[in-house]
Amino acid sequence: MNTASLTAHELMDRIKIGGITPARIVDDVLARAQAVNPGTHAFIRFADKITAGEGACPLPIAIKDNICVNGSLTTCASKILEGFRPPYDAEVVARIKAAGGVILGSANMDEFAFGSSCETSVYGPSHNPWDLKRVPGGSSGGSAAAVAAGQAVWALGSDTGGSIRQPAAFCGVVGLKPTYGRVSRYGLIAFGSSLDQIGPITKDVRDGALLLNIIAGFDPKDSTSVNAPVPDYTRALGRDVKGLRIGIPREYFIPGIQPEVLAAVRAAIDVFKAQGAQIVDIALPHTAYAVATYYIVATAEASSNLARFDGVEYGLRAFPAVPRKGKLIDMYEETRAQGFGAEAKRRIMLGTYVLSSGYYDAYYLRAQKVRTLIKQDFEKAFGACDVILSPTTPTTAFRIGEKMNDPVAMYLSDIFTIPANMAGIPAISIPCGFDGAKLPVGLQLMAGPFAEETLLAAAYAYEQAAPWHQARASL
Amino acid sequence: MWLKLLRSRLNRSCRRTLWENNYGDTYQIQRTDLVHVPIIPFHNSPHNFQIFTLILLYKIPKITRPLRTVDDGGVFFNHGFQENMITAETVNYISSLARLHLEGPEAVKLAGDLEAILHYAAKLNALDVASVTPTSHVLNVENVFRDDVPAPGLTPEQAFSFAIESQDNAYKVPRIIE
Repeated sequence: MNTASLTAHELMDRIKIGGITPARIVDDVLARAQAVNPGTHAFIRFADKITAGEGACPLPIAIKDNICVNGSLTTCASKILEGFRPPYDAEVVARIKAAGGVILGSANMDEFAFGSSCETSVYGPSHNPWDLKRVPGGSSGGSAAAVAAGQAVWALGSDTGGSIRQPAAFCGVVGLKPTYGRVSRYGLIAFGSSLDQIGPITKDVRDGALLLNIIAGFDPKDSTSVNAPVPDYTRALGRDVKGLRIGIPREYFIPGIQPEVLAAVRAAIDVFKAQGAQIVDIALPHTAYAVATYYIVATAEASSNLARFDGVEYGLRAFPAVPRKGKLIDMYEETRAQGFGAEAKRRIMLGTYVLSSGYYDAYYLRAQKVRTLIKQDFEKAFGACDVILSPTTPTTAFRIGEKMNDPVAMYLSDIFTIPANMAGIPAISIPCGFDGAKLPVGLQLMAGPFAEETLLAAAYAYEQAAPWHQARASL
Repeated sequence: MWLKLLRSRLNRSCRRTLWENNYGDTYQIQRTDLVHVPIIPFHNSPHNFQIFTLILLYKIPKITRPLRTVDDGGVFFNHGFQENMITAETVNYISSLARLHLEGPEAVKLAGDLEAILHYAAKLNALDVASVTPTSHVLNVENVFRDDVPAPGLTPEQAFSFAIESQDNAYKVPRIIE
């Protein structure tokens, strides 16, 4: 069996019985990563020094390019951060290193995580390992493509509106967005501070639980990180789903979903039913407002967070050829004009607009109120069920270039993933089949705040009964 | 026979100027441009299947931004959204607030994009939120302070090691007072 196609727990088992050494795993996976990267472009760069680690989990990992790695280029796939090497490790990176993890390199992403296709990366798009003409999803598209193509044992992504789950669905891997506050964001370059969360992208659910064990937990350096005990998430795996109440939100089963996606998700409901889960019809009535709410709240926060990129401290510094307003203001404006790509500019402008005097109440405040309604929908729903089941995305992976000129169409590919971020709840995408073009379909499960164990137990039960995750893209 | 059917569909489609997708957003079709597959849901009803097929076989018109949102049952068609509210002046004003220099064509394109997105966002006006408390943070946590005791952190040398330009442990910027 090819090392690069094995899961983390399979590799750990082999290390334990002496079947393979950590050094050999790093060599094999790196060789695979470099061999197929010209096709997938999952990595935008490999780490300068890659040496086998020692520790509880000495496996190679891909890190999304918005998570700081001490001394290594970290650019958010943006020109404005070209040459930036953070002088410290993000908390998640520090925890991975402490467990012996080996950082293979930086995974491609949409610039500043602004996108659903990886096409806004200044380094060019990544390609879906299942069909190189299609997008891997985004914004953590490089992380998902790397795992799907065997270029990394597992990966870290970040999820603001679906950026872990949507690419996981498109690439046929498992993507977990933990509860807001479960994982420290210290060293994650901020996009939407009330929404961002780091999470694992893995080949199966057990790996997701293992990686969550490593990265989850309180961190005094992140004031939004929650000081709550971290269970051993692998112990939830194998729990019986008999009697588990699985809510089916009628608003997520709208006409317009690709029929093959709908069929795969309906089949998944039957799998749960056969295992004795109780299927409950639920309502999340404000679902239709989630995307609009998100694009006001997230861009407002992004425009504020991205104000720090002005040529003063790090990355790019540029001046106009002809002075305009005075040297310092010119430096700010020209650095940002040259440094940000079109989508980043669009979001900065939109966010600035909705926060500007005269529009704040009409857009930003209203969106925050609708966010309350969306959150209340979930609170009510979790009174009637334990887990909510839906498609992760309305379609399978779309073609590169297909949605680039229509921002609203691109934004709508996150229609089912955004609500979990709005409510701060954990959600997972797991493979649940393929469409006619042999593209993976993703099944999304959501649970209440800090109910990752319930989520993982349900996901694992499904995966054992319907092992779609075992399929590998042929590259 | 298929072609004949498709052609008749095409003729019929071009006579209409509005398409409604399954999310309840209405789109304007302009005849002159090449096609963009606009939105996810052109898949499953027979009606939509034909649109999808046409896209493959013909250069059908560009489907542009949503014109109005009808997911509230069509009661509030426009939700108070004013056409052409994002003017060149608005874009210039916002770009100066955002410290973002925009070149001419870029500003025009952004004005159109912002208008399309805000038009989509105007669907929020259909909800009565007068008595709803805004959510700025999903967890019920209060501001967090650490104990005021020294702890190891970055040294100034480390902190400035990747600065663009620094001097005496400070970032150096162009002279502000000329």
